[in-house]
Amino acid sequence: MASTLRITLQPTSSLLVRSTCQTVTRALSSTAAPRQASAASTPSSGSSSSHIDGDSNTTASNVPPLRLSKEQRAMLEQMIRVDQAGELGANWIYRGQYAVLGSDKKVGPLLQNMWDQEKHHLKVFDGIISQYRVRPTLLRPFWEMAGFALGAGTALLGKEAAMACTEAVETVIGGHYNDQLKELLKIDHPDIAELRKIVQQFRDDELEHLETALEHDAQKAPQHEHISNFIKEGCKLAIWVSGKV
Amino acid sequence: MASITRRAGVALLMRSSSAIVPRTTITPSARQLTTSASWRTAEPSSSTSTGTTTSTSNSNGADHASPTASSTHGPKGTPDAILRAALALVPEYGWTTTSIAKAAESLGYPSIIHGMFPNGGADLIDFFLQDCLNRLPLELEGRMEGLSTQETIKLGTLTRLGMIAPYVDRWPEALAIMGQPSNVSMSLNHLAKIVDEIWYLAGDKSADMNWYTKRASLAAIYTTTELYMTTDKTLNYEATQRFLDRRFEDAATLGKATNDVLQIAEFGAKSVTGILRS
Repeated sequence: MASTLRITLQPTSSLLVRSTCQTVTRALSSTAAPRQASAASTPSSGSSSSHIDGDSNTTASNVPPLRLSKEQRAMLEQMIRVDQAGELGANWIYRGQYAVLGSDKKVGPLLQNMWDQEKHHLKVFDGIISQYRVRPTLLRPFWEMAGFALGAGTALLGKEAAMACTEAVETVIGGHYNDQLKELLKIDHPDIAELRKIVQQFRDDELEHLETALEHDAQKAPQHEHISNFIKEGCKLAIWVSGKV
Repeated sequence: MASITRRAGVALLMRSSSAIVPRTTITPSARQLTTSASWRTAEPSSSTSTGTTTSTSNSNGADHASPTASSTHGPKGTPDAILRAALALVPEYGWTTTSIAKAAESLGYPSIIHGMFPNGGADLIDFFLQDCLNRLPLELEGRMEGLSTQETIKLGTLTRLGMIAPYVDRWPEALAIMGQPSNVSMSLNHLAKIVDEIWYLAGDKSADMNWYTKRASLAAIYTTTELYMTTDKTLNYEATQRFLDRRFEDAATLGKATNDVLQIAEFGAKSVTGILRS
């Protein structure tokens, strides 16, 4: 009983490692506001002072459990859900683009590269979802279809249009990650610091994709303005919806 | 003796609510006690308010017989303490305001304090369900290792159902209260939390639609088994356990069928991709 309580109270220190490890991460959710009740808080407050050190999975034995207010918990959940949905959408957009343009000598390998990075992003966020016990988006099949249709549709309009689509999506996602970083800076805790690092890294990746798209004549796409605006508005709507649903 | 405690308890409440209620003589029939709108909205992270109000109640003098302001009987702990005591009275008085009132009296508060729980029995059920949810991970610690997924889910479900056993005779009444329109959202919320907790403790790491299908199927299994348990008179709830096994067999068949549907959808998507490439 004591040893397992120790595990429940030791928060994780490395998100990427945790996504593959079996470490229980109840510390994050059990002390989050919606789940907190007097019955649970008494054993946790009693044993946090007597936890056994030497757990090989955690590096800092005096990291306090993550305590979030209801609003913070809701904000974090929404953020993580939206991020996962975003990476999912990006994944399927690239899949659609690759389905049409994969055989192109110049653009094909490029798309493959960017797609592989998005696959990695999605895998990481799947791990974060289960770690923070966040409900994933209910509209996942819909985002998959919409992303594929968007990617394939713009790719059918030509290479430049596909790059314009990438440019628009990455602009919105990059800005969105930036806003999230600002929000995450308000919470001071090592686990959130880890999450911040991940979001920062991904933001930089997405902006790199943006630059790649611009280098490959995204601006030369036919109807560039219209495509860009349409896709940007669509992305913002998708972000809002997947935050709720 | 009872009148002294009642007067003392009223004095205690009068002090802490003096900011809200005008200083008239509070009689047990007066419904002006509004110390807290609802204990449910109390934020766990706001510990400063607990500190000040606890010290206020402490300074009321030592001659009253109301419970000492310990951590379980501070302004936030008092509702929980009353409801916890009320649970012991449920087999006799049911999930009603009567249980709460009698429990409050046994703790030394005036019975009128049941006004703190405007939903009566529903508040008691809410507390009970939350308490079961908190106990579930503690009771399952260390027992989930080495079992297959289905075994862990069965163990989790049975453990959670076992918590109802002390109240099983009164549980149909609780289910009826939970089914009332004003309480439906509360009970569905709790059901969602139960299945999420059981799957989490079983080690579920799904992050796609499986998250929903797993929980939905477990919710169906759980609710039917819970209902069956209220009619089960066998020793150790043997019949319920067998009922649960049969429900899991049904779910397995359903799972295979869903897989087939998904496969067909996947074939469709692949052919569309093929057409686009050609």
